[in-house]
Amino acid sequence: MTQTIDLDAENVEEALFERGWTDGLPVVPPTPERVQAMLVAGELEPDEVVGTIASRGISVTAELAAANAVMAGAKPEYFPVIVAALGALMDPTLNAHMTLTSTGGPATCLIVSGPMAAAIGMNARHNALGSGNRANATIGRAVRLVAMNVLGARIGKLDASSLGNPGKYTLCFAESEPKAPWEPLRVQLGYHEEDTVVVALATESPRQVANHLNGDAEGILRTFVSAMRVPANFPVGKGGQCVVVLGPEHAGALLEAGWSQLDVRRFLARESRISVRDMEAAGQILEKGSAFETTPDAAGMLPTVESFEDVLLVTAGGEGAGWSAYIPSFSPAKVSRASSRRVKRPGEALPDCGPEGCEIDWTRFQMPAAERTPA
Amino acid sequence: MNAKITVVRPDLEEAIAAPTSIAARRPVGNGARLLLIDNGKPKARDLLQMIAEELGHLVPLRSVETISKSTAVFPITAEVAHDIAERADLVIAGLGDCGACSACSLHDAIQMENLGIPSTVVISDAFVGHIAKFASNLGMPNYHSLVVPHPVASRDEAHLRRLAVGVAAPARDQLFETAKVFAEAT
Repeated sequence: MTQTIDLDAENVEEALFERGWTDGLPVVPPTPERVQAMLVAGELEPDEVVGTIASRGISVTAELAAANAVMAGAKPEYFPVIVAALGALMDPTLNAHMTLTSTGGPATCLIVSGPMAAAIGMNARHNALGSGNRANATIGRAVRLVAMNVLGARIGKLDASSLGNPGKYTLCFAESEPKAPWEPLRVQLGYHEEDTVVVALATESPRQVANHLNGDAEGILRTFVSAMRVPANFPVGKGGQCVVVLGPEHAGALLEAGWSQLDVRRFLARESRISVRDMEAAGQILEKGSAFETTPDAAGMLPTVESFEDVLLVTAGGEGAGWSAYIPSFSPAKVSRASSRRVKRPGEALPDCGPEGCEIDWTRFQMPAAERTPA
Repeated sequence: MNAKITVVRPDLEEAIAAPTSIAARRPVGNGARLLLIDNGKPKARDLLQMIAEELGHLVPLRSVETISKSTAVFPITAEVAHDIAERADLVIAGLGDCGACSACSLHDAIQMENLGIPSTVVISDAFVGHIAKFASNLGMPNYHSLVVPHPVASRDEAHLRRLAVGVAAPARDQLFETAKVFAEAT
């Protein structure tokens, strides 16, 4: 049921700060008219449930999502993407109960893959991971505001982040469609080409990956490996997931050399394994007798990502000297994995995923494209 | 009079469970069956088992069993809780030394209380405030805990032993009839 309050119009922004409803930046007042415009764009009734965290018995209604989307500064046409992003956030695979409360303080990294991203003006090119694009900025911000205002992920409540990271304001970008025969992320995951899909992963901040002089495919990938195999990243040695964002020069070099996306992912997973000696040289003590204990393989190596399936490969960014980015998960994949949701098309009902959410069939992700049928 | 603007509330009224009482405490008797719920955090099992040993010096314990969760970031299922209730008289859960794991170990202890099993949870002091909020949501505001100084994971065995010695008497007081009944004080 809609709950409204009356605030002093002259000082409304301050009143919203005082109520603890912002992320530290000013927000747009969620007037009933603005909230209604969101709901109309999303073709949703106010009390429809867009996601649930079953272990806490909390549901997010469309109206709560819309109010926070307004506050984030989103346009109504972004709302279907925000609803899909919230579905991904609350998918049990991602385990928001943990990612929103952990001392590790991750961002919820959102990747939008599909035609709707361009249609609403999202940025997949120059500065895709940076500031300045309203859709990128406000979709990610809306999801964070829901986490804070509805799911209780605030300092002093349930957010126990020791440090957090800047991506907790917003970390959302669109995929730049890769050149054939490479496939966009949504197709790699088994969705249809014409779908728009939001993929969510709880991550650290992005790291720049620079390689400006080497046009050799393996040389470029070895630079990525050096960014991945970092003992200071918590999942390293235990097996996490990651987003590899290939800029145009690096993606082009790999494509020209004939590497498939599966080849790239397999190479990165294999070569990013780390030796026990290198972990210990970095001062890390391997966990024994705990839930994250891992056993080195026959060669004495530990995983950085659990397997090649855990490397999410996307293309984004604009032409430059040769820049890419690496975004590692903040936790081992054992406790939080990437989740995804297809954006609802006009006239469709919300997907009913049941109390356990919409589970991704990750086995599809390891198949060569020819063997896959669309989900 | 200043003009007003109407806004839709963007937050959710917190779903706070109706306050319930902890399980009835029993006298020390001839020996209770203690079960430890190790959440898999580094040093959790070691510390819990040392606490059990030190508690055993204060009260007779018939048996001590340890179960280890596969991950600290989910509470035990209702099915597991019922299994535990069949074979244990007392439960100590832990170690809550982070955000999600503190909430989940607290949830484990409260589930056992709701099944009539006197329980407590080991929490590092940095997270006492964090779980207080969660305890209210679960219907047991001001739920007791065994508080140890943060951090724990980087400490050696001798240090863990000192922590165990320090919380053994509070464990006895929280698990047996001598316990203060916090629920009535709130």
